[in-house]
Amino acid sequence: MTLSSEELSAYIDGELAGEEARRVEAEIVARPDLRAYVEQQRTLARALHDSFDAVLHASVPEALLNAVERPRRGAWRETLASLIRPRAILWSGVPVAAALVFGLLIGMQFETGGDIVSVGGTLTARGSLAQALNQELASQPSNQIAINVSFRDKSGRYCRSFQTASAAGVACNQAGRWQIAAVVRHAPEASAGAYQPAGSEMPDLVRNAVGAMIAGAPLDAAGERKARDAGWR
Amino acid sequence: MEETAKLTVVAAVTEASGEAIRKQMTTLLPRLRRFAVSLTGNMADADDLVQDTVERALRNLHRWQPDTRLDSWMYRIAQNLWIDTVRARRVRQTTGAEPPEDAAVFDGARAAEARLTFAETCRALAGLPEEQRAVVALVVVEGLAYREVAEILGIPIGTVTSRLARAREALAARVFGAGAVEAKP
Repeated sequence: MTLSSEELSAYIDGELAGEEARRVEAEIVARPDLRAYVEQQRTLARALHDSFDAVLHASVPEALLNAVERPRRGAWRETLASLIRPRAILWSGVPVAAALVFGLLIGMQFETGGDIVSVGGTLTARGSLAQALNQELASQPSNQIAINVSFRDKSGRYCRSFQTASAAGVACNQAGRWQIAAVVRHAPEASAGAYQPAGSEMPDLVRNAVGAMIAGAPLDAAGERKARDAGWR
Repeated sequence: MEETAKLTVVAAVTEASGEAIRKQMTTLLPRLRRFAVSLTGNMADADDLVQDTVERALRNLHRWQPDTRLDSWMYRIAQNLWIDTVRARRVRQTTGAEPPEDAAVFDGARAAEARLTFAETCRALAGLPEEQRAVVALVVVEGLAYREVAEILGIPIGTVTSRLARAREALAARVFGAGAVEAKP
């Protein structure tokens, strides 16, 4: 019986099992030349592996950590663009998630200082959040409540994503009221060193919600101003 | 109203998993850098590759199947990006400079306690064809199973095995020179 170099290679990597492993091993034990081969290849594999240990244990450059945690400015636009294309939305697991959302929303009532309330069973913005949704322009960020993007949804309503000190979400104007379409607790971390203006990053939740709701492209600065001046109707 | 409620649920699920994925991605960075070094042969190109990999992964997060391994998915993105880079470079440099053939790293006497430096490993890997290098990087350096490697590279397990067997002979010849033991079945 003879062994191929593939079998030897698989043996070295521990890829053989059971009868096959025993057969290959028996052959190797019986042949000094194969023993020498396997021995040398193991030495080689160990040396290759160990020589990169330093890379594995080196500290990761800040730029890479930032690439994960704080995607560069404008990156969310690409994400948005990719979400606008037809795609499968994750609907499974809704009952389990519903409990989670319930918890999230209850928490929100306290954290937003009553800026999100239930009106006839629909979550609705009021107070400073409603005011920001009515007045703020995404193109001209000014106060603690940031508007990231304004758009029309598939039923033609004007919708806007918002970000407060403790929450982020999407609200749509329904006959003058801002109904909350999606909301999560979201506290942007205060990052030492670099000041991040509020709203410079949308949570994935909001990006995905916008992507699922939007019809066409987001409003540009002129379109947004026009819609505001017409009362978002 | 029904629609609104559903959307909230979907969004909340995505948000929770988005945060979890970022955390997981951060813990993967050291291994991705090591894989990238195996492919590119130097740290600067490796970090560029990892950066591009992370950006592409975040842009395409909706394509990742949550019940599959994030590391495999990111290795695959890195490998694909690298192949694109290599192709683009080949187009630019019509006169492809072959890596210099240098003498064996180990003579017979040193072979038993063989250690390779970072640079020696990079040189040895650089001598392999691209397709063999990826397999060596994933199996020998990253320690993945053949089945996982086959999935990452989108090739049959048999191809993983044969590429690895060929790569082993080439690496041994490069590292041990005349002292390399050949498998003669």
